[in-house]
Amino acid sequence: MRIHKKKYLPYLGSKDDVLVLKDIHKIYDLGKTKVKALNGISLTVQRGDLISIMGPSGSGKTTLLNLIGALDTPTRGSIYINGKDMMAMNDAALTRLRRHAIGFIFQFYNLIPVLTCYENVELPLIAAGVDKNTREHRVLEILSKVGLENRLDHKPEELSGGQQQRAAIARALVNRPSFVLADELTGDLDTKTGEKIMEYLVSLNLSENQTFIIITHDIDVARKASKIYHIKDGRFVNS
Amino acid sequence: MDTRARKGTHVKGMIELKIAYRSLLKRPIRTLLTVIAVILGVGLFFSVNVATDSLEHSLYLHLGPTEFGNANRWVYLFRGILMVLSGISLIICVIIIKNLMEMSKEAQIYEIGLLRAIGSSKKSLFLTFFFQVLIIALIGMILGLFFGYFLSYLFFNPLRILLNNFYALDPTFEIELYVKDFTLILGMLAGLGIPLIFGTIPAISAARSNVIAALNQRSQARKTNLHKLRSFILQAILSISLISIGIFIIRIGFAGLLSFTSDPTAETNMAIISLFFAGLIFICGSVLFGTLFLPYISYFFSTLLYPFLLKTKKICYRNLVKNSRRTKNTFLMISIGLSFLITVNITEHSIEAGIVPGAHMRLGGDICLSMYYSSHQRIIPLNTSNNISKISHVSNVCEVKNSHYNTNYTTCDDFGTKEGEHMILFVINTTSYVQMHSSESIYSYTGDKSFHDFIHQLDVNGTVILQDGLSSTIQKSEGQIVNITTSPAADWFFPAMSVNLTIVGIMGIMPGIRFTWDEDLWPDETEFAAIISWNTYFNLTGETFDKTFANFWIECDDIYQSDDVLDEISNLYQTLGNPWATIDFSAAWSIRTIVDEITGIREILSLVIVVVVAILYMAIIISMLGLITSMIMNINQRRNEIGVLRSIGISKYQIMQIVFGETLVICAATLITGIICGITTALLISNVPFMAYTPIFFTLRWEDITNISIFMVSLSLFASIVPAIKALRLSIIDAIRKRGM
Repeated sequence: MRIHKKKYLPYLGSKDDVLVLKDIHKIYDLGKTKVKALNGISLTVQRGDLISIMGPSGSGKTTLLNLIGALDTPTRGSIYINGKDMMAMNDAALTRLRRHAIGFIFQFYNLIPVLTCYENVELPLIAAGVDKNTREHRVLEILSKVGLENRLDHKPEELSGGQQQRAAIARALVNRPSFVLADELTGDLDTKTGEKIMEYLVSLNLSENQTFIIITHDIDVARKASKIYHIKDGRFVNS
Repeated sequence: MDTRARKGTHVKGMIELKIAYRSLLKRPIRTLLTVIAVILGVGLFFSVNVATDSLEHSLYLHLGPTEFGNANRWVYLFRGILMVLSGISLIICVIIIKNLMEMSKEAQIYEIGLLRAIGSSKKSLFLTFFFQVLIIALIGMILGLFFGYFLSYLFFNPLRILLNNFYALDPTFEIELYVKDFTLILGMLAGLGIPLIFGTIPAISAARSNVIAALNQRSQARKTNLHKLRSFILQAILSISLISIGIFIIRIGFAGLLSFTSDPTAETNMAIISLFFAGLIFICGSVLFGTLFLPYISYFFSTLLYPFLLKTKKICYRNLVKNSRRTKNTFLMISIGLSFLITVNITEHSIEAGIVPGAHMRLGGDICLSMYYSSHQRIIPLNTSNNISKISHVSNVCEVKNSHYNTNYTTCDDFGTKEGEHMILFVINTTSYVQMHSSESIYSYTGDKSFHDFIHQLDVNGTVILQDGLSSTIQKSEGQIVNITTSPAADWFFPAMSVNLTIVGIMGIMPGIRFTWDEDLWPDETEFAAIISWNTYFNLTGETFDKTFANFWIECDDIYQSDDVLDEISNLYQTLGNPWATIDFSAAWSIRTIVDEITGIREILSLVIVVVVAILYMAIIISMLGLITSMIMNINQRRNEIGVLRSIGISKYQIMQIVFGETLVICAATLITGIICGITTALLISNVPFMAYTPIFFTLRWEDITNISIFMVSLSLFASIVPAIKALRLSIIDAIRKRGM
């Protein structure tokens, strides 16, 4: 029997499209039942966009984030990151993709507890094989931008929630990724600190033309974005 | 179901038992490995006891109550040594259980905080953890006893052969399996009691956890520098105390060993057992001392392994330091077994190095043509030495003769006149005596002369060298005159005389003269010796070289030719037409060569080493199970960290590097500590003079240490495979969700 290898076509859209999702479906097979987490999602994110995706619990936003972050693969559909088909990539290529093209900001900061603020930010550059001098320059630059130049040698447990989140933002940005994924980035912070963090993001978006995709259920956070997508039952309901 | 009926079935502690049971089931690999470690530890401990019980019982049936006592002293000795050795496995089990419980507490710290927050009592929390240990201990104990029961069969043959070396047994003697009630109770206590006692400590700590710290997923409130300093000082005091106690007991043990003869007594048994015990205490203390510097050692090796760890060096090192308790426990359980293994290895080679010189010293040469352990003599013409020296491979012949040995037959001043006092006078050829023995061996003598000059003092007519004990007993020293009297004993061809001789030297051990190195040959009797030269002997007795009889200590240019040389002497004896009236080359006369002597000792040594090393390797394997468990728990606790690392682009290979790197750093730290502790302990053993007839020359074989190191590193890497695979298989999404993305 001949095996027909699936053909992965190159994306032929705009050069400014950093992320394109085409008719994404994700079905979780739970044995007796199958759960449709995403049901035909299509999205195009262009360089310099600041978009937010909102939705209630169980709507599929986390599943979508996993797919955009190259942590998971869709059951059906195509994802193009910087014009490259993610479905055609093996594990090593996906690792490289995450290393160079995607930045992550987590709700609980998820800094490595045994590393200092400086070392946490430096880590993605080490993984990318950047030389020491360049690393030092870029880490100090980005930490200075997020206002942590005086907290270089502090470990995460010695930083406040806001400072930890800023360190996490610095870590996500230090590799100059194509886009940054932020999942409930203010969820664990008080309102005031949350607002400050969002201001950082907006300013970085404007000054650096950095692309952000924010997943949140907080309308105040979502309003800071230039585009808001609402997701419900695995599909965008309006935007 | 009726609520009352449900209430009626509720047993106090059932919910804690249920949580404990499910906690164990939730982590099946970790639980399984811990149970296996307990089974192996308890099994090994129980098996050596069953084996010695069986040996004791079978001996009693075989020998009957009269003879049984003598043989049973050896059984007690075997039991003691084996129990101490198998105790290592138990110690490792204890550390594994303690480690498991501590890590279990850390893994469930949020649950602990939650349970405390919703009103669970400390007792309830304690019971939850206590039941986990109880379940593991119960299963481990029951299966361990079964395992030990069957494992004991493996010890039967070595024990039988070992005993046969010391106590001649009938070839039909077989060991039958027998278990004493006491042994069974001891096995149950060891299997259940020890894990329970040591598993309870983390359980108490879990019950006393700070609620807020627990809810913030910190296992304990942050330690202040004062707390850290206090822990450091306490640990330093504890480890130094253990080292001191170990050295102290080793010295007592050695003192007891000095009186060790051909049969063990209760004292010598205790001495040998305490020696092993002291070694264990010393090693535990040294390793514990090493843990004080573990962060620095870890840093050193993390730096040293930089080419391998590359980008993950800091993570690797800091995780080891952050989880200091787990690192310390893992380090302890591996290094104790390893240190003992290295000690045994070095001691084996040190004993081996002393076997030939020891046998040479005991026989007086490579062939002893006399009964070296009594005054019985070969009646061989002295001038036969001319013929013997012509035989090929004979490099030296020392003519020797001794006075009759018994109370009142030979006296030195008033020593030898009372019942139980025995004196013997030896006549030696000073030239060949000096050529055949060296001062680098185990003899001690007064003054700062060379061994050559010391012995050649006897060439002056009318001089004598006394054994040190004799000198102190008669309270006479060098330069003083001593009266030596020999009674007529025609059978032994040593003439009667009463002469005053000048003491020219005091010597501790005289090669070939058993009384000087085996002082308690006969219980409650005192034996001393003195030596004179042939020159003095001829002058005193008027005998000549051609008209007297003697024995011979013969040295060969190749010790392994000594049996052939003996055959040639036997042929010479036939050729000369049986001039030696009573000599008989049959076994009954026990003419011994150095090959007989060293073969016997090597057989015993190799058998002992095989048993000891097998037990120690088992201990190391048990500790490796502990290492795997520890690393798996480590991975489980760091799932979130691994997930984050993967999400920011750290490859699977680099994650594997972290896992292998941490294991390698622990392994390297363990290895260096094990090597240092092992060498120190072996040095301590080889530097204290004991069992004078079996000298120990410290011999360090780096190739063996290298082999052990390679074995350890391979085993550690092998032990990391399961945790590494577990780390690689972690779903990034699940791992990140561990705490929430």
